[in-house]
Amino acid sequence: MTKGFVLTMDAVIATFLGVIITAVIISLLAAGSVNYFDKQQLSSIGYDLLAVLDLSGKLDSYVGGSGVESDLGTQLQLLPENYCGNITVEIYKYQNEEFELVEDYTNTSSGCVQSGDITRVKRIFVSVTQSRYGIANIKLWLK
Amino acid sequence: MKGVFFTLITFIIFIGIVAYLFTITSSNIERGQLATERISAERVYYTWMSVRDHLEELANVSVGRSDSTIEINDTLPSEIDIKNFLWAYGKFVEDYYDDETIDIRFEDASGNPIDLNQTDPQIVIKPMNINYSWPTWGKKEVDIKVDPSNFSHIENLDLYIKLKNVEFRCNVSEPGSCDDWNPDNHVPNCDGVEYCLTLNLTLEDMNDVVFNFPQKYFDIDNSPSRKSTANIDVKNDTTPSFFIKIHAGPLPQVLLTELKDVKVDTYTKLKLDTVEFYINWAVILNVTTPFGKRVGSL
Repeated sequence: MTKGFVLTMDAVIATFLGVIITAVIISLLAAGSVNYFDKQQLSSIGYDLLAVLDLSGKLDSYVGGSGVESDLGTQLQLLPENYCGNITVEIYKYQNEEFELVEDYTNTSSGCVQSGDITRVKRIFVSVTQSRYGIANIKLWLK
Repeated sequence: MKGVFFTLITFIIFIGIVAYLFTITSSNIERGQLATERISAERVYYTWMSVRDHLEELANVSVGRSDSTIEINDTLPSEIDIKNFLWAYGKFVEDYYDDETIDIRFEDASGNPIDLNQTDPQIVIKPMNINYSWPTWGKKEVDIKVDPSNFSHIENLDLYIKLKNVEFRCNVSEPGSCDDWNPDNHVPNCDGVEYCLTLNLTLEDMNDVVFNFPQKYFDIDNSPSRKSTANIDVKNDTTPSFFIKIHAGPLPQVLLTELKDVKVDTYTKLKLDTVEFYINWAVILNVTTPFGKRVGSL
């Protein structure tokens, strides 16, 4: 009877240890892994937002414009509620075979501080009427 | 015996735990790969489209489609230095879009890297290969061409030309004054004519005087060669001599609009016999990331 008890206890302790180790491994995996589909969603939304700004002529209107940073803040409000973003627009002129930065604007979603996994997307645009070339960068992360 | 039994049970439980961990890990890796591939595919797509979306603006033209009709709004000659813009834009794409995770380059039909301003100045409607082209990016004339074997895909062609700096010297109210075709291969209708162009041609001068050509059908066969040319008499109070000539035929030339010192906006509507077509520029864009690639005509 004693032998049986000892052996049973041995098996129970072993199983208990096994479960503990498994739980630790799973939690480490979960902590270390990124929610990949969140990243994909962030990326999609970022690209869509920049495409809308470009094709609607908004990025073009920022060339030589005023109140740009405030307007960028307004555009960031189009993001879903649980998303934060930082958008930067850089405008260049081509001169002497080089691109010279002539304007740059940036804004971040209100109440947001950059943290966690950040997804970055960018889009290039051109203003033919004003001979300017621009690039809009957006960083997105979850609140 | 009991010991063996319990050891066996413990062993089986541990094997189960290891198998479960392996399944979770594999599933995690697969999800990660799928998401990475999707992100990469999206990146390639949006990069490719953003370059294409600006090409029309750079070429000072706008191209659209509605069902089986292609609509092209053009400005002749060009009001901007297109070649210079293309060069700078191509360089900007390569310098500012290109990075260690994405490679972007423009290529010719053979896959050789080229500068964007080395692109042939033309728009091609595929698969019938109807070309809307300019001789150079200065756009002092525009030519619509198609191989005779594909001409039947063109049902009709509407061309509206707004003359911006000249007025009619010819009398729009007098038959034969503005519509003076020489040579003249217009026909009363397309019955029995193998290569018959149905053309609706309208000009409006800088004083908003409109003239619509009464001739609607032209034989543009090339065997024997049939061509119709209208040299529209226009003027301006300044010294330079002006002309605008419209040539219909012979194939493969469908319609050529030739200008000298005349500035125009044109609106071309080309109706095809099918909706199965796509519109390309004569330049290939290659966008490559570690996980995806897109190579195709813009």
